[in-house]
Amino acid sequence: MRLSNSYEAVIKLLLFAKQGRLSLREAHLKTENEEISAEIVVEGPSDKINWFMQKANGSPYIRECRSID
Amino acid sequence: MKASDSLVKKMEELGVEIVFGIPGGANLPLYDSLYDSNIRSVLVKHEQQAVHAAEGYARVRKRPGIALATSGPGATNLVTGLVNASMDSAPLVAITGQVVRSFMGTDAFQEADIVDMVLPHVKYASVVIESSKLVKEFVNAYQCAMSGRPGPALIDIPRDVQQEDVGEYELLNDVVEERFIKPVTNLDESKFRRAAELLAAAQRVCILLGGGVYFSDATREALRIAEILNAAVVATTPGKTALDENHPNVLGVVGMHGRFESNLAVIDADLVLCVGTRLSDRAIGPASEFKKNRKVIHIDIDSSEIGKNVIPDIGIVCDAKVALNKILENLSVMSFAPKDPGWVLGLKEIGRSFDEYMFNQSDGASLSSWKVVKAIRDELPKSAIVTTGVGQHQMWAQLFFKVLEPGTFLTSAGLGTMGFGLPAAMGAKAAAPDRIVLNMDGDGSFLMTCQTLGTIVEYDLPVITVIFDNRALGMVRQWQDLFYKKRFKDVDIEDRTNLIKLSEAFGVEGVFVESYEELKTTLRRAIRNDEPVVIDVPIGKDEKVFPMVPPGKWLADVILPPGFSNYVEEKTTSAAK
Repeated sequence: MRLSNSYEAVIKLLLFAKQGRLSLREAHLKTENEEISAEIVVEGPSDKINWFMQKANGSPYIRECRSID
Repeated sequence: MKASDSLVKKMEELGVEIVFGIPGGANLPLYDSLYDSNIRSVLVKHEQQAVHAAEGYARVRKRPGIALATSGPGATNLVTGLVNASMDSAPLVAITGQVVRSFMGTDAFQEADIVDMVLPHVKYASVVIESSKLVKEFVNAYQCAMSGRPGPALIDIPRDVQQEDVGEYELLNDVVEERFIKPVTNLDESKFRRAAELLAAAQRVCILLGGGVYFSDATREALRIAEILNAAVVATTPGKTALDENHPNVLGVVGMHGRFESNLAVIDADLVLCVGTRLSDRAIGPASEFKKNRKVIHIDIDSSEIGKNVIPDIGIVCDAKVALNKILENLSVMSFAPKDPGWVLGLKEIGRSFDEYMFNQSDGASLSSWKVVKAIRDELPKSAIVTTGVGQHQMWAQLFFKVLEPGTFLTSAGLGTMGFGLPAAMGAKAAAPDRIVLNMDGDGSFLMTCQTLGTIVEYDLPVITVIFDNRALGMVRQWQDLFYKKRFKDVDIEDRTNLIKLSEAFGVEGVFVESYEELKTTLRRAIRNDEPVVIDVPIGKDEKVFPMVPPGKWLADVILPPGFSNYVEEKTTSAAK
């Protein structure tokens, strides 16, 4: 995931996971070139994961969200 | 140029005409900049009113309303209204003052982390730390609030940031970033064709409209599809404002307190076309039941809504107007057997029987709420805007107040915020000064934000308020009656608050009415003179809103008004004879 460079972006990302009732297993964050890249591992039903992806991709805080599994 | 001056200049350029708010230590530079501006500033009595008024304005004008508050309690008082706007997808921008940067994080006087408080519920919230980015942050928030699915945004500005010099205005970057307006792209044409094919093949089509239809201005397209398919048109509570309830295909609101015939339409349909709605449980009951025995097409501009509550047969991420036009295009080149118009006619007949039954009920010691609602409709011009509080009166309004023009019914649907009605009406009046605005309220709801009366007098924003006064928290009382064995606890308001004197204390005429004719006469005068008035209407506290689908139950498990089933049976039998 590519996030805008702000704490709010990171918080919003985690809030989406929480609102989707997903279990957060891992989170790696790195700031580079005025942007935060995040790799997170979440567990949950596929429809909730899909909801999370759509929600993230619709948010101004998140520039891009891709599934890597 | 001072940063706060640049912000106000940008607001003017974007067409902001009015702001609602309260100044305080942390937003004084912004208010100082407003001093020299043409933007009208309305000083409210409590920040909750500012944010509801901004929402009322936004829903009428379909552009962001603006609410201002200082730091700390000023900002936290906005929270209810921001969540309300989020739940009902209304565009607004809240601008809060914050303590100076060097004091942030020190528990300074009136410091509160408002951004993190509202973050779960707003589309965007940000603390502006660099003054050079203030204009850009406002533009981003403003465009974000309006784009796609509308919603609230907040920018929080430390006082010293507002005061800083930002140099020449023309050199400030004010280009909205693409991430704030993310347009819907890659429309899949085949989905529109498949949707049209399903609609053409279905026997009984029900079109369920949500609030998105109003914001997208798609009522005409929805009704055109209904006419082609002889479909029934129903709405969610926020979708009611998209209706023309005199249209022959329109039945009314569905759900927990939906019209009987509207719920029957959903139950009996073999296809439901859902447009601009999140399909909440309050509207459709349990998703598993809703999906049984019928196909579902779901159109919404917010991709995360597709499949969230109901997995549709076809999900389309698109603006409602664009999508419905594409479906119309596809239908126009298809040949299909005409649908039986008898289905909708039959449902309409059931609705007429329901109205007939209710309006023939004799009154008890007080007036009957639904007859009060009808009297209001009879007197109001078609273009009048009605707002409501939350509770039984709201449900009576959604059942019996016929919306005759889109955009004329504003209510707090998703969050159910008591106290919404009066400040929202004030905002609506500011947005449409030439139209009559009437707030239907309960006594419980009214007392939560009644200080707004002072503001409507001061700023000449005349609003009519009709209070359905049962001296109780009526809807909660109804639940205690039906589901808690009549163990009434803290729902009867035994105080002696005189609503007439209260209104008069704020400079608004108060009238107590004891008959429908008195109510109508008072309304006629207030409408003719476009003047504020509070009309106190006594309602019995044992009155219950029916139909009612108990929480968690399917629409078919509806509780009807006592005696209605027998009435219909007798009517059917006598018609058969």
